Amino acid sequence: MAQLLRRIKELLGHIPLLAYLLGFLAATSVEIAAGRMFGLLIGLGGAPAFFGVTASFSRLNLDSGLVGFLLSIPSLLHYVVLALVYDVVIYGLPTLIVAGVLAKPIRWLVSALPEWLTGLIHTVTLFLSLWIWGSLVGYRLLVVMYIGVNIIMTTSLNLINGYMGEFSCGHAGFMAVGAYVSSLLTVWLFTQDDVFGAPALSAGWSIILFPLILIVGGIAAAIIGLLVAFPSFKTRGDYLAIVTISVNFIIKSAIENIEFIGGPRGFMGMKGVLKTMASVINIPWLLIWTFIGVLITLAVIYNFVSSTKGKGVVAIREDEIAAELMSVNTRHTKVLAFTISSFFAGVAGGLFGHVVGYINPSTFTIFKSTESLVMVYLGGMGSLTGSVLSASILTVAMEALRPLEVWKKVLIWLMLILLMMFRREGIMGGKEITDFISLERLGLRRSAKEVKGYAPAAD
Amino acid sequence: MPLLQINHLTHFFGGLRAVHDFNLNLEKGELIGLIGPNGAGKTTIFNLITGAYRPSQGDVRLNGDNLVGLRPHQITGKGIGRTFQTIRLWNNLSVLDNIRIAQFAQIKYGVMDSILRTRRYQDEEKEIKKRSLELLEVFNLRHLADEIVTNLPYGQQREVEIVRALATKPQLLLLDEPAAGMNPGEIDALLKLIQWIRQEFDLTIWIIEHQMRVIMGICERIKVIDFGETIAEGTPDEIQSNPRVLKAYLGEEGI
Repeated sequence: MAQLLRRIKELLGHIPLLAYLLGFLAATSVEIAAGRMFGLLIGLGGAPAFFGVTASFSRLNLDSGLVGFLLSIPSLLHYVVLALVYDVVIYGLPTLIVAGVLAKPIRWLVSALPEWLTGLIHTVTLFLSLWIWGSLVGYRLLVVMYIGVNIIMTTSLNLINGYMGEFSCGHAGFMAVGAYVSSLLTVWLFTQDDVFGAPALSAGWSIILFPLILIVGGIAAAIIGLLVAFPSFKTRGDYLAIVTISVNFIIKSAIENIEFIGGPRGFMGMKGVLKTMASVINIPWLLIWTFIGVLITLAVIYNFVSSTKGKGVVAIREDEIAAELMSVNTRHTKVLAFTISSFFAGVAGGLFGHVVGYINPSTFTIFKSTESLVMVYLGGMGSLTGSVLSASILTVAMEALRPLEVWKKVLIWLMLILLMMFRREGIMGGKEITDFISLERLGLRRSAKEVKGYAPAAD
Repeated sequence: MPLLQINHLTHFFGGLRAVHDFNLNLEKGELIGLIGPNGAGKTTIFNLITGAYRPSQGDVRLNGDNLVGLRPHQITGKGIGRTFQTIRLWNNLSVLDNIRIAQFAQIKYGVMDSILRTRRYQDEEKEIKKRSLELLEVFNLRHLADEIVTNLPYGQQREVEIVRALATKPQLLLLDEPAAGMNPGEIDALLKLIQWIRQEFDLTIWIIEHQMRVIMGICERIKVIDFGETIAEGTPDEIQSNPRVLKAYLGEEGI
């Protein structure tokens, strides 16, 4: 048995990442063709939105006391079994079969193509599989975009809390600035709105200007980020945490008191912007920009923290006084870190505003900041892949556990407590996933042997 | 012109006078020692020179430029490298990263270069890495380049700290009790190392020590302070027989 497991592990481990991605792409096609039918056939009543997790939990009876709850458990188990069958048949088997078949050709392909092209193929395949999988049920696409927004929030906060070792609790404040600035701009420019009147520019501009407006939102947030950077010269740790919380509250109250953008009632109309964009060219613009936003955030933060200049950030975490005395310009470095971090929080806010279509000041309170904090600590401080993982897991968990109502929060925070007790360093513990699985093994980089034209003997 | 000139350096912590009227002219290539009992104000003088504290009075000049009021990283950038009494490496980083970051002042590329990975960035990073590895090579530490600092034994951490100080390209190297926590055998090795560094890197070195025998062997000139005041200055032989020094070290009665 143990040998069989090892053999399976070995087999699966030798399949490159791209083969899995293509396998999943194939599985989504299978789902489109047969998912609904199969779901009806086995009694799920159609294709489940989240691999059946959400639907399983919704079987639980939370309203009729303990007895009702216990009695509803068999119904949950019954559904779980059906959902598992669905997942294996629709996702598991097609993915594995296609991945297994393609493993060899793809290994060859990776060794033949230049690395940038391999990277591009991975990116496009990932995007296509997310898009196709998401399009089947509208709700999925929304969650995929939430994940994107949360990844940007988490990785950007990780720069401050993980890499620099400061404790910023006001990240949602910067998100709010970005959300409001970019939403106001797009609604003013591209839609018929009660406040701004007719669209200021023709619809065609929306395609070009949308990403630029996201950047403007980011810049606005970065300017506010400077407000936090300056106190950070003088104070750190708990005291800086209080400063950041205050900034969060100041931003929220400021927005609440600007009547013309809706005050506490919030601001809407961003769905109209998406409609305008779709009326020009009908492709999922928001998904595309969220996806690109995530990639850019990861690339920028990774490139920054792995440069000697950016490593000054880590030196500040390790010993700020030694950093300053060993020629690191700590003030400049802090300003950079806060600016970059709040810039991306602003971009995430802009995306968030358009994903949800409605923003209001009480969305961006300390609770939202805490959510990002939790994702940073869950993933591991100073680990970008950890942040990506935890943002994805927690976002999906929060959606999938929705049927549990109030208990959802209890469960999620309980998970966090357990994490802090048993694995304080988070999922990745300050390491990147590439420290465990090499890029060569994932098929993202040519292995040295293959480059030299050395073929390993078959065994 | 002397490399380092210190005139009437005085510093108060609140009402406590930590350093009083400290004067020194340090010529290029000298190796001098500063000794004194615990709490005499030795480390404070280093902190005043490197900008960690701002002196209450007096000035510090490197090659004639006044350093008072500059921030520590600027002073380090001008050519004063130092080590710390208790090791202050960046513990969770690799040895190589510790050395790389110490070359921060030599970076000329901007943050956009690092984000976009421009040619300029790549050239400079390559140079920094090459120089770091060369430095480690010189100290026979190259095989430890990827090791996390915390995992190294104490003696090697001390060495890495010296290498890190050298990576800042100093003209003047300040060593704050480099022999602290070392046994006599390690101390001998350290003294040889210091003399060798001085020649190899063409440095001026200033050592703080409170164990007299450590620096008697290598320093040409020694200054002794007690309670922030200079009480003696001279060659090792003169210092060893100076009654005020003996008094400071051994007490009034001369036990």
